Amino acid sequence: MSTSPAVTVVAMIKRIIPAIATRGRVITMLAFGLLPVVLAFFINRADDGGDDFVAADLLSRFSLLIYIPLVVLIFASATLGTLREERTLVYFWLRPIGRWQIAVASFVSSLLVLIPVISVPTILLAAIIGDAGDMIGILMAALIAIVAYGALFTFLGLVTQRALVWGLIYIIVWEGFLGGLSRAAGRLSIRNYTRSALSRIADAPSIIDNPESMAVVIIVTVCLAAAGLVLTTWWLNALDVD
Amino acid sequence: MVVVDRISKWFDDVVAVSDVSFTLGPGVTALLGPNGAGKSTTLRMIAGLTSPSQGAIQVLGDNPRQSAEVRGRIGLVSQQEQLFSEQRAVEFVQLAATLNGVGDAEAAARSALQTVELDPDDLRTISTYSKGMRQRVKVAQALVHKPALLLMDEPLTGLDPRQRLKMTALIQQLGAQGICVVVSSHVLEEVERLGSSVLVIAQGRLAAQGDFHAIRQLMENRPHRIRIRTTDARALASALLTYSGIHGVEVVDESELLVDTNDVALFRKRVAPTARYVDAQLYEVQPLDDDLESVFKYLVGR
Repeated sequence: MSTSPAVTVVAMIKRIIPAIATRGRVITMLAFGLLPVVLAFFINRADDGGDDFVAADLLSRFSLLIYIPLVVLIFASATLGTLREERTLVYFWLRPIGRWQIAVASFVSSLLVLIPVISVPTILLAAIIGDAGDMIGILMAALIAIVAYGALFTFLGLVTQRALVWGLIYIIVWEGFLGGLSRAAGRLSIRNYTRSALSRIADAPSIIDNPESMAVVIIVTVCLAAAGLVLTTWWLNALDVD
Repeated sequence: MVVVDRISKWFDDVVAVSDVSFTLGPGVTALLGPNGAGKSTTLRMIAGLTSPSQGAIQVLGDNPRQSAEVRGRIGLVSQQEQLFSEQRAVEFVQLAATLNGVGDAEAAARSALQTVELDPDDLRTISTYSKGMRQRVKVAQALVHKPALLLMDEPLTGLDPRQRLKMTALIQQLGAQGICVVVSSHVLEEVERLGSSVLVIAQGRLAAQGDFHAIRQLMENRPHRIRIRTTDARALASALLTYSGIHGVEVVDESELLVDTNDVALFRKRVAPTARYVDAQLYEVQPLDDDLESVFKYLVGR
């Protein structure tokens, strides 16, 4: 008796997505995402004919720094966090499957929920800015943020029942404050890479000084995702399950 | 099938299981003990959900925590209430079948649900189910892949009397098929109905083991303390002391005495005729330590 990993991962994804994408959570996060859209709309109107990058800069400062990390934290930490909290992780854990499959299923579930939830307000925002380069840049930056933060917060949700608190502290203190103090510290923060992607693709140099190249951005994002999955798998192996 | 070798488990300063060893083969074994005795922790260690702090466990020749193959041959009915409540029962059991690598997962799920007398076509979600129905869903997901070792943590909890009988019959049937079934319970009568071999766990230690009748005998033969309220405590005390099975009598006051005996059956037989003989009326004859907790304490202290 054996089932291919793809089948087991898909079976777990089908179970995890309804558990994390509750109606209340999705509506709240979509509504929250409309806030920068409304702000961009009014700023763009007030700044008619002015600097094209005002809205993109707004996105950089609000969306990439607060909105996207927060939404990713809420959904990604819930994937394994909810299973642990409800003590239903055992129904995945005590099966003859590799723990990495549980990690991958959780990570992919959070991506599948987050991409549409974050894309809707992001596309609206890009539409207001009204430039194809901006739209692609914004979506690319959002995708990088979803992947990098998603892997990190999926692991955090497994490790601690206070993932929201620790995640918020990380977003505010590290990403928001310490990461901006020096270039070296900035390289250790995810927002450095999301803003670099936005700056490169949208051709908006005002977003960040000395942006990383796209190759570096992609390599760092993939490494972060892989590290998150490895850590989650390792933790699942060492975990005491209720 | 299961070899438990001197396992201990502690959580910080609290010792949950202490130096427990036993082996299990095919058939039903009951893990009997009061709440908090270490039964669930022992089951969790056998399932590989947590490691022993000391000692070793082998299930089907391997470490259950590390071997995926062994995990695939274990079925667990855990004690917690929560299931994937927004799923239908058949979806939940089918998920278990898929993750266990069962070929036709849907057919296996339907069959497992029918085994526990639940309707696979029920359109309701598990969240609408009664406690007893949820319990049966848990059993179905544990059976769906035909495990060699079935661990059931208080499986009769929440079932009505009719369902208890059915579940007991199912457990016996599974044991008769050669499956190693371990059932934890804190209710002596439940274990008696299973007619199985018994491991008594109390205060984290293995207090006794054997077939149920041997354990029952052990429990009957322990010292009992009985309080008697009567019209003439002193006369009754003097008369009772002449019997060999009674090894102590304490007169509390004119109307109350405490009797220590290790032959409670003999005491029951003789107390009324003796009271009649000394012309004393009996108002109350009450065992003071007949609760299961006292029995377990005695077994641990032997």
